Amino acid sequence: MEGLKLGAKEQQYYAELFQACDSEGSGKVTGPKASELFLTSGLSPDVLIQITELCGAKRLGHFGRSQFYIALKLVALAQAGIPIKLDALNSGKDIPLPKFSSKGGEQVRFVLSDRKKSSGEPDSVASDSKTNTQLSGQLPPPPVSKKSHGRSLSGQYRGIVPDQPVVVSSQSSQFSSQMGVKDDSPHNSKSPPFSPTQSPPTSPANQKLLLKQNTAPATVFANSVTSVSSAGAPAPSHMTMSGSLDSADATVHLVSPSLLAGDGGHVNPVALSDGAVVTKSHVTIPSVGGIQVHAGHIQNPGVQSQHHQLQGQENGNWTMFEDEESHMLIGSGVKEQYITLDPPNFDSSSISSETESVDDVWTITDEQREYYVNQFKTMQPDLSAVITGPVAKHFFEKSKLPVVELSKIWQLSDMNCDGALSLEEFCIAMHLVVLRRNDIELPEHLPLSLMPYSTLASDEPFAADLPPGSTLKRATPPSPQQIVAQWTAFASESPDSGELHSPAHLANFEFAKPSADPELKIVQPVAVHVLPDGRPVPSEVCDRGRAFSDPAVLYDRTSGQELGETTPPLTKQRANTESHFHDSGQSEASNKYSTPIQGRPRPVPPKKNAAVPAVIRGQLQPPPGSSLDGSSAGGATERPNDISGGQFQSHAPPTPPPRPPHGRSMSVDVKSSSQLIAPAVPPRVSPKEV
Amino acid sequence: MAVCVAVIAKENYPLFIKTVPTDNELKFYYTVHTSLDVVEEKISSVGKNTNDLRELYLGLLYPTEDYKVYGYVTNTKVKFVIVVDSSNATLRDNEIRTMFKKLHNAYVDMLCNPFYKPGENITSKMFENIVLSMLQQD
Repeated sequence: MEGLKLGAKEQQYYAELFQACDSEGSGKVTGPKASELFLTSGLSPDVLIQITELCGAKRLGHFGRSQFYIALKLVALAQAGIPIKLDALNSGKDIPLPKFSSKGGEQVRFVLSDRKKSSGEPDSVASDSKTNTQLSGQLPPPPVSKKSHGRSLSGQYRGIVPDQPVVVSSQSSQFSSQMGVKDDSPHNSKSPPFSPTQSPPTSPANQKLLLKQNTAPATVFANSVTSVSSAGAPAPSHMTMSGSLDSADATVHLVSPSLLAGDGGHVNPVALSDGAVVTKSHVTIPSVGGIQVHAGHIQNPGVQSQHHQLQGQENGNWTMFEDEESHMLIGSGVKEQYITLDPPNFDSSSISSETESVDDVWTITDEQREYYVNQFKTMQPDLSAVITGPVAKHFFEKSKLPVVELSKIWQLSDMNCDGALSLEEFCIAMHLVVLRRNDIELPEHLPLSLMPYSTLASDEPFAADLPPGSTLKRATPPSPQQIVAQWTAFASESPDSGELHSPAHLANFEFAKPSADPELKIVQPVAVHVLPDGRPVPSEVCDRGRAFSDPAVLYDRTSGQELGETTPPLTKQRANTESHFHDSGQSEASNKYSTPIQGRPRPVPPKKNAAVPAVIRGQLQPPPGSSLDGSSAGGATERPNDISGGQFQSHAPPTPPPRPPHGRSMSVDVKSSSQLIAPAVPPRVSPKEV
Repeated sequence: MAVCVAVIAKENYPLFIKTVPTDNELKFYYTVHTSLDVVEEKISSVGKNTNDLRELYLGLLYPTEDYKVYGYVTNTKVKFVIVVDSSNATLRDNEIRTMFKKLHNAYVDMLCNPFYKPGENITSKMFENIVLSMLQQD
């Protein structure tokens, strides 16, 4: 985060408050204390919760100086009726100082370092009056409760009067409880661990930054809450959050997306603009907001959410796989539930809507994807190339997930089973790891929303690996099962399926970016018969458009004979070939029949010789219905014969040499007449021979 | 159709073995074990002359009265053994070949996973599913 910009007055005020709250002098304000203070601000607990989350204290476990400042700023914003957003922290220059008044209950005595420094016991309900007064312009009585108060901030803060010290003591307890609750609630998951990033800045510069950050986090809280919820937290929580937010001062808006960006909790090296403390286990708060949104330890590396750079906080909170970052992933202290999957960039208003609508953890958000791409780049600069197995393995092992799970993730991700991860596959794998680190179970099969898809603005969300021509758009809904079925079918037949592209292409459907054309539904891939060595059969005239499950092709390898039988109707015509020949006497007929014969591509690749003749035979048979009036031809052992007989009848035999449409005789005649009649008809094995 | 499918490593220890649930599964394990001798014999005899022409599919290793055992060896000496019920007369050689091919493909796919170390037991769900599909209906 760029840092909180505080005016001199604010700076002083906040500093005093901080000192007042920081009874232990440890440089951080505990939750209860902070909550006490905040409660006196008159804001509703929800708002305060948001603020706490936004400032990153939730994650951190306490309020560092930066968090505290941010929180204060956010309180000021909230009190001023400005939506709490991290990005508002800097804009609202003229926001009055937050006011903390003592609201009934105990009064927390804020200890002001230079004023009346009460004993640093913010908890004491002592006469805050004096402290309050002092605090009025200065620090509101530091919340006594621990940071956990963040969430539970009640509405005490609502109308903080500058002159009144904030009495938050009672609140503190509430805070703590609330905080605790918060942690349990989905919201908690939302508040990504601010933690480490929030560590108190050591230098004034840092302070500034932290201030900014602190304020930002507050807003981020709001956002994060929402975002988190949306990101992946259970929808309800998310909803509640927004609901609660709304119920709160209603001024609390979700932090702008930027804040939330990437707060996944990664230590965003970038974000650590001032090189503030970056706890390994936590995500630095480059973007305070970002911290919020950090689900689990997944944090977007700030790199990704650059756009969210709200004050420098940018995300970074995605899973960090870098070595040092891996800690974050793993150990960031509290394993919160947040799911950083939510795209950081939602603004408060949109967040709620977005979160409600995008409650799908399986979808890769843009920032997530950005992050993943960047991670990919670290290993493989060429985005169109793949990451080899061992490299990827090493990378994913950094996530500290058990090998079993990594293995499963790999199986789900490596679509083409080539032992390497393309960019798409890598994104899927990363996403699954991120989810897994957020305690989301791995699915048995890849959810559709996670199916690899061409990242770039393809209308087809998950087009990349769909069978060519297919689309998930469901314009014509090829059901997911169908897709999956097709997919699995492809996979299973990969070595054999000639009709599809070579196995290597099986998974790489990226190139076959399905257009957004709704017509372009999942079209059964046109069977491409390939020769045994993989070359497509030359005469692919017949655009059979048969599904990959072309039985002919399928069986081709395994049961050559079956080819003939299973090929489509063409084969039926097998027996007719002879008859055709007979008909060939009739030039027309023969032509008619011969043409289709030639034109029709062999349905089955000549994998087996035996099959070929069958195919040919099939081919020969003219479309039965073409002009056969009556397959009255007798003796026709098979339909084709009859047809031919019929044909004979229908057409005046130009030359009746091939006479009787008998199967057998036909064959005989065929031989004799073949030269005459069916020049086009390729010699074929008579059915009986077959 | 198969009643038992086994994958044996190069060193002749089992990587994966799955049988149709039955009360006496040990019998199948024993059968697979004894079939290894036949496999060895087959691959040793062919190996010397036709070095790379050895066909992967070994065919019927030996029949017993209740079932038949088929074998398949990959180029890395990983052996697949399928035991089928003799009463299943409709099972053709081609179908067995198909089954082995499927097995081999699944095995290769599993090998592509860098998290699988060759030589360790096969725990891949995907592989197991394919085997189960073979055991159940096929």
